[in-house]
Amino acid sequence: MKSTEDGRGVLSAGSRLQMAYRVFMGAFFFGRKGLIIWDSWEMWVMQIFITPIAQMGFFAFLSVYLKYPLSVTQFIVIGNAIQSMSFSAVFAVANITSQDKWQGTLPSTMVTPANRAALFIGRAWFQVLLSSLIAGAGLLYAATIFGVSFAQADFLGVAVVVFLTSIAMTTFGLLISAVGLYMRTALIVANIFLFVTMLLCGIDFAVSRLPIWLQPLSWAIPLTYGTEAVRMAIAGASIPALLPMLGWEALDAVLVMLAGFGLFSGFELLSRRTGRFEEY
Amino acid sequence: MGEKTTTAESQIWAVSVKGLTREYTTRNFFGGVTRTTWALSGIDFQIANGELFGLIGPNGAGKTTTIKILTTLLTPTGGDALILGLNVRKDLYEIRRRIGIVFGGERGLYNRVTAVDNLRYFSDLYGVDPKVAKERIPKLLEIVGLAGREKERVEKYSRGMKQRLHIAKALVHDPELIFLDEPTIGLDPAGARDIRNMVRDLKAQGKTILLTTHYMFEAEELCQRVGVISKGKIVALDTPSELKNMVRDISVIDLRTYGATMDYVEALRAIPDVVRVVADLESEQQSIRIQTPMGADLLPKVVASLPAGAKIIDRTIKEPTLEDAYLRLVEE
Ligand SMILES: Nc1ncnc2c1ncn2[C@@H]1O[C@H](COP(=O)(O)OP(=O)(O)O)[C@@H](O)[C@H]1O
Ligand SMILES: [Mg+2]
Repeated sequence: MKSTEDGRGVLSAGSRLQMAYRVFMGAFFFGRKGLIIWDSWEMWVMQIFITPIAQMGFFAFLSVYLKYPLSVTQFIVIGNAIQSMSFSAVFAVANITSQDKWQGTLPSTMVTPANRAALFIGRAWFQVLLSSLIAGAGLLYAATIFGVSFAQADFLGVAVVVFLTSIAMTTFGLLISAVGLYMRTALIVANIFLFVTMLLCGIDFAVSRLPIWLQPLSWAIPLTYGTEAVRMAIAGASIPALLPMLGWEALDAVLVMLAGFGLFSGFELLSRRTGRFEEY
Repeated sequence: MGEKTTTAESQIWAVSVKGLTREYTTRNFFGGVTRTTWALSGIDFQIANGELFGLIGPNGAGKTTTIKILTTLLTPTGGDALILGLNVRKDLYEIRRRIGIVFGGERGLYNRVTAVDNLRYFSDLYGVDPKVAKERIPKLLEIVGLAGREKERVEKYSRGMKQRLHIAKALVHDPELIFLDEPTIGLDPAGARDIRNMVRDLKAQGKTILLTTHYMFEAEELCQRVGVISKGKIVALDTPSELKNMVRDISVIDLRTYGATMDYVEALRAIPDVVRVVADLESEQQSIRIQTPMGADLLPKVVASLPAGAKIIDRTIKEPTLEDAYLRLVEE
């Protein structure tokens, strides 16, 4: 804050941007430590290595037990490898704002001038990276334990899809976390959402098997594009071939993010009107 | 932005509150209003630059509501408030950059991380240049007496340490104006004294301070001017000594008793010339405070009404304090 203020102490646009960047980075590093309650290396190891295998194993054995053909079982295995990130991308992220509320830190946070978009997005960013690792471990299990062939796979394509899907799912976590600014908890909504993704996103069966009227809802959730795209990339589709899918997923993620931030801003205004920041 | 904010008035007043009101409505599930509380029913006061101003009042008087409005956490229902010449309804960003706020009580810190992590995070949220923060944070830890303990998780801190960290947190961006909402609540006497010393030091550095408390001696000790708030209204506003002048006519008999009952307190109240009796019979050390214009002349009657089995362990005749003025004000 040097000579960037005018006479009345109003900051220039440049320094406001610089401050927003500090907020983003601060929130990125602090989000993990202070707001994600699953922050310890044991919990990361469990999330990265055990969550996917448990989930994939359950659905794979169900499929084998029901005597589905191998191709179906492998379809299910890939779907669950990707979906297994949703705990860290959606559930943990959705909990962030509620955490602030429970710890009583929401008034201290909201009384700062911190750029709300940078704050809102920054503190979830660590979970994007964690989610990518979880889905990556899931795909590794798919290849090594469940016999999914990666012979044709476009690895760059797979990596891009996984990363983009992590971002996209995290935006849903943020959308739900905004609810936590106003309601006591966002966890119920997050939990419902996890099962909705199981049902709608082409994880265990193709979207085309769903009733026609449900299918548009499937394509409103970014995970549906991500699951489809990862199967395509494993089958050999390169980035140019994946581009339409990725494009839709990215657009979807941006819309969800805007909706989430809109909700967050709206609830901030509402909480200032009703005085609910410190309720828990 | 900008119109009417560089008026002469805002040069003098760090805080200027006019006709401020706030209503809380509680709604039921269907959106119907079930209860309406007027937490503030039109308050006015000004705080000069560099002043240490106290807002005192009993629980539920509206102190926290006032602070929340002035710090942009709550919108007013009516009236106006200028903070450093900026409007609390519109200039949120500019106000937030320039004020610090200390909440009383245990909550409001990130408990799973260290003091340094807390301060660094809030420095980032205030957009403090990392180089500046790196120099400032150790200094702040020194000032609040947490140097050497800063790498411990806050959950291990005592109540007093947490409160001191609250103060450091409010100072990471070096604000001009600081709000402290009952910063000594729930602290032991030594802890509370530490906090009061810090407040004094801040004042000496030229900061403007709004302090709320319900401990009268604290306000008397620290504040240049005091507003007494009761049921959402400011019932008096003056220097502590002027407020004490209101009760010049009385003196105070302080009793330490053993085995006294409410019946005794009622008997004391019934004595002519007794203005007011405040009793705390629940504590180990019973205390009864009697306001009377009679002074020591009342003592024979006080002793005479004592029931069998009760004892007066100690008695002192005192000059009235701010507390006596306060009691008169908030009861009226
Ligand atoms: N969020 C709220 N909803 C409804 N009533 C409230 C709320 N916050 C405070 N009040 C009421 O407003 C009045 C003033 O409260 P407050 O400002 O917290 O007083 P103080 O800080 O002086 O103890 C009290 O009657 C309190 O019950
Ligand atoms: Mg209060």
